[in-house]
Amino acid sequence: MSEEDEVPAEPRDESARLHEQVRELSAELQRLRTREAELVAQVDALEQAQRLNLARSSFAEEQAGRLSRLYVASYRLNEARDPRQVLEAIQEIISNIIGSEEMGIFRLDDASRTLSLVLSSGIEPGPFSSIPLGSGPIGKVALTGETFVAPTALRAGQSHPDEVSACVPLNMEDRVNGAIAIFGLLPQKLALEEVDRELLTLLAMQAGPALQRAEKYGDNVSAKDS
Amino acid sequence: MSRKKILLVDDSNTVLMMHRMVLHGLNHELLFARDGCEAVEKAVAEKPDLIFMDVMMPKKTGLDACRELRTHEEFAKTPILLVTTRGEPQNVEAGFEAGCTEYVTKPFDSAQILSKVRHYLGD
Repeated sequence: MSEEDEVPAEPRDESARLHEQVRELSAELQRLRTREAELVAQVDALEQAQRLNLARSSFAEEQAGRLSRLYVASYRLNEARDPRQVLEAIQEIISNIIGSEEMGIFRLDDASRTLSLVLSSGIEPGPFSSIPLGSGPIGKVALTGETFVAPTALRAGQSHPDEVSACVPLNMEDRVNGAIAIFGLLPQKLALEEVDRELLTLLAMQAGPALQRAEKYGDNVSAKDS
Repeated sequence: MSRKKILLVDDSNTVLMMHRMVLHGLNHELLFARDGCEAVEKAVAEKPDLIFMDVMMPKKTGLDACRELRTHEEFAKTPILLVTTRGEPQNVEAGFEAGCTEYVTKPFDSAQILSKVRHYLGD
């Protein structure tokens, strides 16, 4: 059809056409608004799911970290075949996982009812060399068999037989045979937390038997050699 | 994509085991050394992408090993994180003077180690 053949639309037709166009555009706008609201809701749901996943992942990693601490500590204690290795493992656990370089391991002498220092690090051994059973926090732990955690942890350099950050019993054959005392914490370690208490519980349960096993193993090897 | 390599250096079996347990799931190759000399040898041979190194170690300290690695051009930009119980400012300063990228203090914190690995190597 040529240009000359085009007939101008009547104003009324044009108005109706425009009205129709406006109606269609309004409907389209409404559809888009509805779609936008749906998409916003989907984005919100995805963000919420992502936050939840992050929280779950973070929780899972935290739990894995907690279990790793316990597993490694238990493994290190129980792999040792020599009493010295057990004592070194205890020392490494306290230094690298709990966060204190001031510690002492005491053995109980039943006859004299005193605790003797058998291994220490970061403290002057003199004042700790012999502690009467029941005296101070270390003596009390050895007497009662109950772990002690001070309400406020000591800072490094404050070690004293009457002040500890924590002390756990060294249990052997259902009786207390000594104690492990932790004095000042590392400067960057502000307090003993729940995860540290779990490790202290593990030390209380496993350090003594590990030491005893290592001693028996050593005795057997010596007997075989002789 | 090839796996990234992480060199973990510490004379404590407890710390190396902790690293192994915590980083096991990240699909990176873990390399281990127990003193500063072994660390330098292993780093030169394996070209790790990230190094966690204890400071107080037998034979060669972490500070000396870090200093030595920085003299090799190939390690000019390798992230070297010194890990130590000594968090006092003078020790931190000594670490940076030796060329470390960061200074991480003990006790071992698995969340912190994971975060550092992600930061330097990506997820």
